[in-house]
Amino acid sequence: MRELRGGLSLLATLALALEWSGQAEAIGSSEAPDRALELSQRAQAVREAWRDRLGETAAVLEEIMSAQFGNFPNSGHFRNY
Amino acid sequence: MTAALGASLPSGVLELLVLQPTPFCNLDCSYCYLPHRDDRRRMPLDLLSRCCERLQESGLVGDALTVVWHAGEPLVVPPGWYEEAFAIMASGLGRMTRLRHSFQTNGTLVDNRWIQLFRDWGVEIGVSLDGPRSVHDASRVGRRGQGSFDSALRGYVALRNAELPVHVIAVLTAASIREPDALYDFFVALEPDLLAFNVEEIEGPHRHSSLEAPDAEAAFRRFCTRFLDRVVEDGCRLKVREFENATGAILSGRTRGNQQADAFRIVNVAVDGSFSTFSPELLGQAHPRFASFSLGNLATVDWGALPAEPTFRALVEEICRGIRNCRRECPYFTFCGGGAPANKIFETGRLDATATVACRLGIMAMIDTLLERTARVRC
Repeated sequence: MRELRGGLSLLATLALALEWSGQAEAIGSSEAPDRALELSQRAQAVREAWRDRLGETAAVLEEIMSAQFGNFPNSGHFRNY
Repeated sequence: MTAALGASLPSGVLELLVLQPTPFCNLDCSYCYLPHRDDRRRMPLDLLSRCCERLQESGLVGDALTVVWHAGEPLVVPPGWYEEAFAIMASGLGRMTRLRHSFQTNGTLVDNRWIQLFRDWGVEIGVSLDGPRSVHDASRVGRRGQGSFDSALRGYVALRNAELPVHVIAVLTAASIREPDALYDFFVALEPDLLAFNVEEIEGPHRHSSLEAPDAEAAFRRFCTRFLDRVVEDGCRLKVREFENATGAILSGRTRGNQQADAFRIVNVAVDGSFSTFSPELLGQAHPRFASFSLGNLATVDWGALPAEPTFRALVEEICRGIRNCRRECPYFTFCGGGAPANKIFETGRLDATATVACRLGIMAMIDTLLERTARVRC
């Protein structure tokens, strides 16, 4: 995991774990009564699938995310600076 | 807790110190938000020293502190000045925290002296490059209107060749988002450590954005989708801040913190020592209710009196109200944490506003793009 700590790309882990699709079959969206719930359900589904696919690696990544990105994330350089 | 403050300052919360070595910039970009970029003053080193002393006394400084030299073109001040400035900061603040210096520069003045300084002090550099020549030179021009692409790219390449850590910040406009493939091909070839997109924002003297147009949001979403697909199809060789942030926000499942809405997580210091907190873009701007957003002069500040200072209290209260409104009204609050006070006030005149153009593009469109592209999960 040292390599990940040095240059972690969360997007890369997501793309590795999930099928990349241009199709509009949104998970968790069909029964959601409002937009906030719909977004929450979609995010939860992505999170669960990501964890399922990556297994123990996901747990390590979550630990890194927590340390590296804190309480979310500037990647060191936020907005205009 | 967002923005809330009692009778005393929060301890160890300062994460980002934005220092303005000079307000002057050798460029005159069409979307610039800095109001005093003709002002050639330079921050006196004894003033910097006194500001550092006040910060040491404040209790705000924690284990690590990023110092960003910005709010003007930092490289118009000579490297020798920074040698002294860094030494001053190392002898004071550097004894109580891990200091990390970073420059946000237009890149046009980079030469071997700068590379040596950056190497000697482990400085991280962000270079502003908007894309290929036609895109970059449409906005990023010199004082006589000439494009800055050649000199900016020359500076970037010199930094890259020196194997220094370099990220790129690109401002997206209505024109540039029409060219996602040209932008991707350009940026992936540069091999930056990180590419960051800033949407063209309404801030300070820049009162209108090309992305305000009614059809801009749909065009922006098409740009995001295409750019994201190129990144993923290419094995994520290009790391993009907005995609990383959106992915992180989705994967974390926690409500995002908001550095710009929490008092003293960011402190911004102008060339004359006047200082502010919250969004750095607020510093030095004029406003009928909040004057210049300044909380006084950092060199002479009375920390004990500051929490009761009327301008500060008014800022805190209105920003807090804005965050509460976002939490109540915005379905994206979990992913965002309540938006940027600077965008709110410059777009609406209020700090307690909710969704802005910057939110709709920089947060909502990014989250939607990621969720749409991961819509079909192969489990």
